[in-house]
Amino acid sequence: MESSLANKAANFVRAGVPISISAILVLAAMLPYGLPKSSLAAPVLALISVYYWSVFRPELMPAGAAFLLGLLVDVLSGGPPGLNALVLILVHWAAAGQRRTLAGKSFAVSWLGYLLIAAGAAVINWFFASLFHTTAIESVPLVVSHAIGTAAYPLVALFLARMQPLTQPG
Amino acid sequence: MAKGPRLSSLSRVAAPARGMAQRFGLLLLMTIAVALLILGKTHGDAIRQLRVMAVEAVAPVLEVLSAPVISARHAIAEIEQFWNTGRENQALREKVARLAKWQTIARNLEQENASLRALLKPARDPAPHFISARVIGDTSGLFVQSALLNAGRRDGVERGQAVTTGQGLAGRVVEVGQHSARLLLLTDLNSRVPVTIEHSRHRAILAGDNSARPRLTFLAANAKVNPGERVVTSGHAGVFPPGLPVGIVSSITDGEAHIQPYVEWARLEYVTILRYRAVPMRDIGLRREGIADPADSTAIDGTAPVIGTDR
Repeated sequence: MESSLANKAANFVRAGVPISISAILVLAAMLPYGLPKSSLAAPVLALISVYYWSVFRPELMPAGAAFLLGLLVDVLSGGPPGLNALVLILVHWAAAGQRRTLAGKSFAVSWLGYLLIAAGAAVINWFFASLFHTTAIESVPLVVSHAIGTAAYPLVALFLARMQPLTQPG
Repeated sequence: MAKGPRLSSLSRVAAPARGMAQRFGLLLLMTIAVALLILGKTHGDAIRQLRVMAVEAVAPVLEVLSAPVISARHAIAEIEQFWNTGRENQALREKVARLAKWQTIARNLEQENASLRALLKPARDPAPHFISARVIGDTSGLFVQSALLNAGRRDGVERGQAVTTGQGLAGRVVEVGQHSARLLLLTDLNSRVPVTIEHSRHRAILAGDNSARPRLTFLAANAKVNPGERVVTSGHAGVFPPGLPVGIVSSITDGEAHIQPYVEWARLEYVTILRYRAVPMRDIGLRREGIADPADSTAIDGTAPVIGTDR
């Protein structure tokens, strides 16, 4: 009885690993490093996290977790409220929906999947941000951050893969 | 296969149900996100209040996490300084020699200014009060250029106050919580600062556009602006004290002047928040007896007469 309770607690903690790591990555990106534009990494790291876990462990990154992570980015950045939340739910939906194609194949396939889904996310981001500000937002920073995110994906994915054992029982 | 028919028939019923529930949850969350976006547009103040509350919850974490980052930055700066000591010493010697001349000039001007003031008895600008704060979060994103500070209402911070560094104006306070505040940088799309070109005394509004170099708008048609001219706050609207250094004119393209702010964004670490009132406290004191709290904000809301260094 006691051990099953301990098991349950351990499972609960394990289930919280992906969202916790993602939130820590977002917070860490927003620390004042004194490097130009370093904070732009925050939404990118959130996007990579949601994509990665939705593909490889979708049950540990449900839509609600993606929503909360997006909300965290929105709150901290002071940008349009709900924008990142919306984008990350859609990323979760697209990535989890295509996980049969994306997971288990070569790494290049999951990288290409990220490239495409993140591109879609950038377009949606730009569209809703422009709608919110009622002006065509400059798209260059969005394209640059998408490119940097795609380039950084292997590194972040490697880190998350290292973290994955934490989500598995004993 | 080996799991038997009972389980598979159960999953045949359960799977679509779970799929539907998931799809419904997804739709619900999307609706909430879109609703938030719409509310952010129509009920900006309420959403801002909620955001301030959420930031208040996260700020202590950021404050703890940012402390070692700041320490590391100091350590790196010290190593850099160590390497550059010789060169810096030389540069400082030259600067001291140059400034010594300026000091003489400034002393003479100070004397002259004091005697002329004594003759004219002009209204003086009230001295601003200072609140020091540390940057605990660099939150600039794709659409908003801002930073989080570890001072809030408890410390006397209010919305609209000017935030400066030793170099110049950094921006203004846009959101205030009990222990934290958000600084909107000069470069943000929504930043508007009334400024004066220092020498020609032409007034303009410095408008951010999310680029590194905000532009001068509402400049008089006959105003001539040259690259290299200093731009300072004008003190109009009574929010910012006049004469705060803002930046220099860096380029003029298609009749539009762009400003290079004095503040080095990469060095934003400690800032000074100015509690400034366009009307001197003693004047308010004369009219309304017993107001001792400088945070009382009745003075700045348009009722104050324009005073200061206007010509």
